Amino acid sequence: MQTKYFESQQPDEDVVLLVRRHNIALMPILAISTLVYIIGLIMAFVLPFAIPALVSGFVFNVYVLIVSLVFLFNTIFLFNNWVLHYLHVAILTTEHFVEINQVGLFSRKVSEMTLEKVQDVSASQKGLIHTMFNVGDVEVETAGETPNFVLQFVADPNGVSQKIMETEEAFCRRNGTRTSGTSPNVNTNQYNGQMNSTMPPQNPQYSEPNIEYPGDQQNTN
Amino acid sequence: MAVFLLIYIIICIIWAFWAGILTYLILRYRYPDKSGIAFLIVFWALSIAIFLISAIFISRADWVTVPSIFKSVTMSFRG
Repeated sequence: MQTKYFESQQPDEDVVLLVRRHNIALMPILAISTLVYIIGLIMAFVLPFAIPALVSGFVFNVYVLIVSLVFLFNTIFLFNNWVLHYLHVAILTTEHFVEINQVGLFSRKVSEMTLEKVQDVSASQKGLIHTMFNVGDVEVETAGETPNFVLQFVADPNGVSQKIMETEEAFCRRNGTRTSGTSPNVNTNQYNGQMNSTMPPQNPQYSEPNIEYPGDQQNTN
Repeated sequence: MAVFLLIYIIICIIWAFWAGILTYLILRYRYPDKSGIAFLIVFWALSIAIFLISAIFISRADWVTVPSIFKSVTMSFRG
């Protein structure tokens, strides 16, 4: 049975790419959390020796409660941010481009468009961090009044934008539609402008699901 | 002390509600990669460990000996 990544996914719709923000985007949260853990450890193992008054019956019990709460809430703060990071994904299928954003615990936003609305895809890398970790922003420009999709802190942004354009080209060949401009990353020789709605898929890699995780690719390099 | 324990229990209920929502989100919307479940297990293991350690500290009648153990360890490092 095929795994459904989002509610409106069709049975014959394969996932080509699943993109998340790079883990480096979590570094500020991780730094804050590590600092609080260090403070908690100092409270647990250093302060009782430095301040002997803490090590007396009633005060010590209250102190233990406070220290344990510091650890508990810091852990859940870290996990909360990681869950929001994990559940913010962009999914490219053979038919759609979908962005699912878990904004908060009770707030979830799903933006979806068909690939025929993709007009242009651009990747940008700015600054030292982006260059060092090969992360960047990918912007998917759409036709009509549909707002653009902007994916931030994506690993291998050039590869992702190229994959989106290739999938869009394949979609147009299959369905005989074309609204996007020319793509610099796609071999346009295969596309001769003659549209045929009964034309079978010409690119065999889209006939089988081949999900890629750009972040994993980068880690293995 | 009972008042403090009551406050602690109320805060823990809030914490448990928060953790429950996060667990539900991971189990409901998990994707085929296994990192979601792995992080969920680590989170609960760490949280239970913190609960147990704090419970041991509070429930011990001779809790003063626990810091004394750490004190003797640190003194032994000093030689």
